Amino acid sequence: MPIDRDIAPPVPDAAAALGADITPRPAEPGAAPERLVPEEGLDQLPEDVQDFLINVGPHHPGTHGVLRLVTRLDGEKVVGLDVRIGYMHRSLEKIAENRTYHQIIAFTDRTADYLAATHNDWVYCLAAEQLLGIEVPERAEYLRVITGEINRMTSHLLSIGALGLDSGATTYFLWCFAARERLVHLFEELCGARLTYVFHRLGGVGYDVPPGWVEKAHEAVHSVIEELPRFRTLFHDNYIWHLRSKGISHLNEAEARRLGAQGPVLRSAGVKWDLRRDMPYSIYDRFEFDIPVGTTGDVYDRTEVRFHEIIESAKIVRQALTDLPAGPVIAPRVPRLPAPPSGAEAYARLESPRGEIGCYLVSDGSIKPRRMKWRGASFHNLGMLPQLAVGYTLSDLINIVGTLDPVMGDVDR
Amino acid sequence: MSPWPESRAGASATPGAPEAPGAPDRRADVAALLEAAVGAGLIEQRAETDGTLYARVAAAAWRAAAACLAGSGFTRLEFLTCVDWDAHFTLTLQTYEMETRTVVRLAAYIPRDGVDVPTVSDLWPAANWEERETHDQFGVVFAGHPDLRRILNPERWEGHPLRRDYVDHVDITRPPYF
Repeated sequence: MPIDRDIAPPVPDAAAALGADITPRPAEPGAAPERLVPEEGLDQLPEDVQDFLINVGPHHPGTHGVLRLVTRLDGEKVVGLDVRIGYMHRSLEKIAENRTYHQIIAFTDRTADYLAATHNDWVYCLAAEQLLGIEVPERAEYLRVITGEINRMTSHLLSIGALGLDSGATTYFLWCFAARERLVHLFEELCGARLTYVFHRLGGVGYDVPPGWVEKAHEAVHSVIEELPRFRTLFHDNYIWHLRSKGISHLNEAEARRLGAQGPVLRSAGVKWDLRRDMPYSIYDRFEFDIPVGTTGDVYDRTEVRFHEIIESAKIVRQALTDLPAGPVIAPRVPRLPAPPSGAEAYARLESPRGEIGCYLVSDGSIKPRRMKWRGASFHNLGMLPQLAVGYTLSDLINIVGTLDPVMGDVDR
Repeated sequence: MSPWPESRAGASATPGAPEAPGAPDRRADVAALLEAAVGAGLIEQRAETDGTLYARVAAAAWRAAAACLAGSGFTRLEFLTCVDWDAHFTLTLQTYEMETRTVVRLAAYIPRDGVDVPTVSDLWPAANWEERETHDQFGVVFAGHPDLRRILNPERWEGHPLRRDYVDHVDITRPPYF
């Protein structure tokens, strides 16, 4: 049933009801629980402490992929942590050195962060277009923003849903997936794929929207936003979830900056930093949206930031769908085998659902890049895990990993 | 109305960070700082098309130049990597300052073998894993790194896959199209 956008409440009003039940907590910078970390490190435990070495992963449902955490436990407390990655390493960067500039696109959304595939294609296209001097048509920019923000919603829904699953709220996970399914259908209709949409091309996007898609997108995004208050009642305002999340894995602002936290993890610590606003790319300077930030940077705040970013993404999608101009969706005369001059290099960055991702391209004058460096947000976030998780319990560790939201494709590449 | 409660939004204001871009251009300032820090070690500097300040320093000045940047507000490390140019490696790192949005790409030519590069992982904690990855993929040894193990490839892997002369003994790839 198509919604009448003039009668239906706009997204901010539907969202306004969400904040009603949250009692804001004052920032408590000194409230982090005392940690049981021996100063000397992993091998220097007191002799009367019986410690265990427990492997979590690489195959473990709570690790969001093939991530191995070698934990040293004192009772249930994690006193040492070594993060082992690389189990899904496919060397996107080596593959890219053997492909032409057009061929690389399909690899970026499979090999890197596959839960936010459009963002990976997008950042690669931004870097290559900067290297080759290609202008992108207006309609293609809008379609990139629309798909990017819908993809951010699906990614965040999966992230917070899986967090519910990690902490025992299976119903919440299923609700999130049911909501996500409506958005995935949009992608399926747009480009035929449900996860790895090879939608971007150098100079624009691959296809124009099918007839009626804009109305369907309005309706689907609106229906997801309308459901969010129900989600909040079930999970986010749940007493058990508050006990499990508040005060777990504190991260203050200075520490978040020092450690190089990315995306929602950085914002949950109170740093209002979002590349869409602070280093704008594409056409993000035309849209109005807020940047949700937290105060304490704990598990609760990180989840809240993601939850509210779904609403902000919906605002952007709404504006972009309304303003969608007519015109071509791909630049004319994009060279088939582009060969930038030797020594030319370009870097593009954008705000993916997990934080800042980047692509660094260096040309040697041939039709293949000399080097492509992929900078993954999950890689940087996961690097902080020992600092965030040591001192908390093993069951908290699963939630802490969940709120860092690592996608092992982005970490291992 | 913001869906985020007001008290939280109020606590979010970041001191020193302007609400919108358009902060003063610090590139000339940074170039002068670098020159003061490393002197003749600053070999080349230019502005890239996207406004990034590209500065190439001598290999001996790598650590001093990085320390100069890290000490003058460049708190965010974007990446640290190598580019294999057959004759030499180009060691590259990119960092930006959040307050003024100034981006600096620091590069140094280093020999492909036999030279230890001083680590910068104490300046940026994010450089820890990036240096491990560069060590893993290129064989660059970072002197002073706290934990220089392989990170993406298995511990017993032979060779460094992203070097251009790497011979893949497990060749399951198709012949190249071009």
